[in-house]
Amino acid sequence: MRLRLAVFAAFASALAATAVMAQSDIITQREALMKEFGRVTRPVGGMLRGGTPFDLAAVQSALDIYAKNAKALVPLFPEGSGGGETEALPSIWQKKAEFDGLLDKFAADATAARAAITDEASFKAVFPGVIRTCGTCHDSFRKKS
Amino acid sequence: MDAPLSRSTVTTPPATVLAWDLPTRVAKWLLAALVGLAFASRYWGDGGLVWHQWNGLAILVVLVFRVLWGLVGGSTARFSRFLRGPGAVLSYGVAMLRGRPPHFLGHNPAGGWMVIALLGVVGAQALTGLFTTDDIAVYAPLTNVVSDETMARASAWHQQIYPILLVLLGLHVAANLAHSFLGGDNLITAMITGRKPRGTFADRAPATPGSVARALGCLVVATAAVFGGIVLAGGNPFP
Ligand code: HEM
Ligand code: HEM
Repeated sequence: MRLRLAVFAAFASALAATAVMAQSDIITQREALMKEFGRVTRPVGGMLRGGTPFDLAAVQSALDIYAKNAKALVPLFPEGSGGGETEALPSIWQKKAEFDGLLDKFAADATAARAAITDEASFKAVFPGVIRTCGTCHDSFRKKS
Repeated sequence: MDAPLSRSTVTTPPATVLAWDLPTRVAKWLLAALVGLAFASRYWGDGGLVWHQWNGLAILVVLVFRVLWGLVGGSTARFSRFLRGPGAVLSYGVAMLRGRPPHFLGHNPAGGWMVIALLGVVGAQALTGLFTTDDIAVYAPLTNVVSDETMARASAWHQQIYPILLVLLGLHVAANLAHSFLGGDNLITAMITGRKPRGTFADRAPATPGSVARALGCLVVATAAVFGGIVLAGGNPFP
């Protein structure tokens, strides 16, 4: 009886430990995808301001990464992954449909912009609208430091 | 009683005395307007925060100017004249609680330290701004010369300092309104016109103004310090 209890306890704590590991793992994964957003967006920001010369290929690869990572991010915010070292706000799980909707919109906008942007003029007209979603989402779903 | 004629023709001493020279007043109201615009430009300005950043650089120029003017400017603008020790601040506080504070032509001992606090906190807000990013597409002039960790820390400070600034500004405005409308010492008019009614002051009156030429010199030095400083540090001073 006691042995069975001990085995059960050990099993349960192992399970809990894996859950915690899986959670910190999932946070690392989604933060890595966000960091990649940041890394590819920085030079494009310079092109928008005119400080860096326009580079269509760099813009296109940034848009590809937006579409790819935004889709990959949707399953990385499961219920209960709001604890630990994360900047994700609880509001994500209170308004999950809105949150997922923003990621879907971001991916769709990026895909549409990939086709619409052919030169510097179309880049300057279309791109700011795509990355506006970053700020919209951070304002309501990411912890302010 | 004198006849009205002799009163206006014979030299009567003016009814007011100089309290603040022109450069001090211009710097003060410019700073107030620019800090207001810093908030407006952040919340209602362009997405790239170009306006906010230029506005912030202008704030830095005015701040450096005000520090220089505190060293070489008009008498009431000088730090050495209006910064007094804790004893003076305490006895001024006690006199105020008793309802009979002495009037000062320049800053009173408590107000003098409030000026330092305001300059310090606005300075901290503006300096952290130079290293701030929104993590998306906006990177302020000095973000390219520091590590990602420093940038993240400065960005966090830039979000944490301005609430302190808002509290100080609230106290500052409340104290000035109270002196002007309850305390019988209209500080607000004085900061606009530069003059106060003749009277008994605890500090030296009238004030000695700093010259406009010297103020222009300070402005040139301040502008060179801000933009030259950013270039020397390896940044791009043009947002
Ligand atoms: C190109 C657009 C975007 C960029 C450049 C961007 C950039 C970033 C960066 C750099 C981080 C910090 C990662 C870290 O180091 O911890 C982050 C976190 C975050 N972002 Fe974004 N982001 C973008 C779009 C979005 C969108 C569309 C959403 C919402 C649908 C979003 C929601 C979040 C959340 C919730 C976090 C916190 C994640 C965590 O700490 O667990 N972001 N983002
Ligand atoms: C006293 C002067 C300044 C004031 C009062 C001020 C105020 C603010 C405020 C209230 C925010 C919004 C923070 C938030 O989202 O919580 C902000 C953001 C920002 N400021 Fe300033 N700022 C000043 C100077 C500067 C300077 C000198 C620069 C750079 C040249 C700068 C660059 C930025 C940037 C890049 C952001 C975006 C951060 C974000 O959106 O998360 N600021 N500022």
